[in-house]
Amino acid sequence: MTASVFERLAGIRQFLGNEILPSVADDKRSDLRATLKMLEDMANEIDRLPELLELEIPEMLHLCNAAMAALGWNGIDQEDLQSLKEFSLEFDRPGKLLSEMQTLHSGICVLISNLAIQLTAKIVTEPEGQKCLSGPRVVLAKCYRLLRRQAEARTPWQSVFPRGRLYPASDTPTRTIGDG
Amino acid sequence: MSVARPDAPSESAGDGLAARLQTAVPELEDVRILRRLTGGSSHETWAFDARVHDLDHHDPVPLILRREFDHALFDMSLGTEFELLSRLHTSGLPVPRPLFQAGRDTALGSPFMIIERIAGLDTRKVMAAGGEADRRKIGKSLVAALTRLHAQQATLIADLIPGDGRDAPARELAKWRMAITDSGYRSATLRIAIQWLKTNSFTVERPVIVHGDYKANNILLKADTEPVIIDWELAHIGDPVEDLAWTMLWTSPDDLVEGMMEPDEFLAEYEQQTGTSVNRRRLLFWKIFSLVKLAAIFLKGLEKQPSGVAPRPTLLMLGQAVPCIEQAIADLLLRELEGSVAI
Repeated sequence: MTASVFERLAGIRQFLGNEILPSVADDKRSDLRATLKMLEDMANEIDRLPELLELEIPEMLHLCNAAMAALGWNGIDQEDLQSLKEFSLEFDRPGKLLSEMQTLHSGICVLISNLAIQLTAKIVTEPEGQKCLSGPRVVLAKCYRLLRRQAEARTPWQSVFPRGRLYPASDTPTRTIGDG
Repeated sequence: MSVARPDAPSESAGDGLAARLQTAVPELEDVRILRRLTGGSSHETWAFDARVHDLDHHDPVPLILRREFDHALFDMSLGTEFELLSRLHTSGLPVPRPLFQAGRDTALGSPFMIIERIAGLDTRKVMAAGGEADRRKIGKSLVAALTRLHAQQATLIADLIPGDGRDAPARELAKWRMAITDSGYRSATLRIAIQWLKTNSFTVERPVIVHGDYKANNILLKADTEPVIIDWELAHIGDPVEDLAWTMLWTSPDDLVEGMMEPDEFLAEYEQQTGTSVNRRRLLFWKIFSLVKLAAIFLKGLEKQPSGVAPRPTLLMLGQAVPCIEQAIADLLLRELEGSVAI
C-alpha cells in the first residue's frame, strides 16, 4: 500500500524542516517557515473541505430560497432566479470534483451577496413600527450567521491569526433574530 | 503595511550597495551596510552606518535606506513620504528625521530616501520581551503620540495628499474595494460589507492627519520609552476614528489594545486626552472598513506580478487568513442588525 497524500505531505514537511531549513539563508527562512505551515494547513484543508462543502451548499441553496421568498418572488431578478435553478441542478449532479464543488460554492456566494444586499435595501424602507422580526430581517440575520459559520469553519487551516484575535468582543455569542 | 514584493530587486548582503550609495549621496562617507530589513509593499529597506558631512558630529551615525521600485501596490511615493516626514519632523512630531531623497537618476537606479535609524525596538518586541516595562504607562504614551498627530493641522500636508479628507470614508473605501475587485476573489461577506460601508458613508467634519497603520510594531520605543512613529506609507487626511479602529484590530498580548489596555480603556484614554467623544457608530463603520482594508491587503499580496513571478509563501500564507476577517465582518454586521431591533 502506498503512502497516503497526508503521509507524503508530512514527509515533505519533515524533509524541508529538518534538512533544508537549517541551511537556508536568513532572508529565505521566513518564506520556508511559511511553506511548512501552509503544507500543514493544506493537509487539514484537503481532509475537511469536501465534507464541509457537501453540507454547506444545500444550506446555502435553502437560504437563497428563503431570501427570495422574503423579497417576494414577483420582484426577484430573473438572472438570480435562473442562477438558483442552475446551482441546484449542478449540486444534484453526481461525481463532482472538489474543484467543481468550490466553483459552485463560489457562485452561490455571489448569489447570496446579491440577495443580502436586496434584503438590506428592503429593511431600510420598512416603516418604523415594523422594524422588528420582519421576514427580510430574519433571513438577513440568517445570511450573516451562515457566512460567519462558514468563515469560522475555514479558520483551522490558517496560521496567521490565533482564533478570536480580530475584534475579540465578537467572540461573545449573540442571540435573537434568525438564530437556529 | 508590510507586504514584501516578490520581484523586488535585491543585492545580497549589500554587495556593491555601499559604493553606489556613496556615489549617489556625496555627503556620505564610510558607508557600512549592516543588514536588509523586511520591506514594505513597494520598498526595499536597509540598515547602515555612515558619516554624514552636513551633520555636526564626525562619528558614523545609524541610518536607514529605503528604495522604491517601479509599481507601488498601495503606498504613496517615496518622494511624498519624505516630504511628509520632513514636515511632521519639523512640527515636532515623534517621527524619524529624514535626511536625503532622490529620484531614479542616481547611481542607485531607483528612487530612495535616507532617514535616521532610531535606537530602539518596535513596541511589540519590547512587550514580548517582558521585563519591567510598565505596560499601562507605555500604552498611555502611545495614545498620547496618536493624540498629538490628530491635533496637528491637516493643512500641514494638504498639498501632498489628494482630497481634503472630508470625503475620506468614500475615498478610502474606493481604493481598497478596487484592490479586492482586482483580486478576483468572490466573497459574499466582503461584497456585503462594501455595500454596507457605501450605504453608511459620511462626511468628516474636522479632518485630521491619519497615520493609516497605527499599531505597536509601527511604533518604536527609544531607551527612555518615548515612542517614535514609523511607516507612513498609508497616511492620508481623514477621520481620526479610522486610526482608532485600525489600532483596535491588533490585539495580541503585545499590542496596545488588549496588551496594554482593554478596548474600552483605550477609547476612554483617547477621549480623555483629546477632550472629544468617539462616535461609536463611526467606530463601527471604521471597524468594518478596517477588516475590508486588511482583506484587500492580503488579497493584493496573492496577485502574480507582471513578470509572472508567483507570490512568496509568506504572502500566500497571509491570504489563507481571509476567512478570519470574513468571520469578524459577518459578526459585526449581525450585531449591527440585531442592535437596531428593540426586543
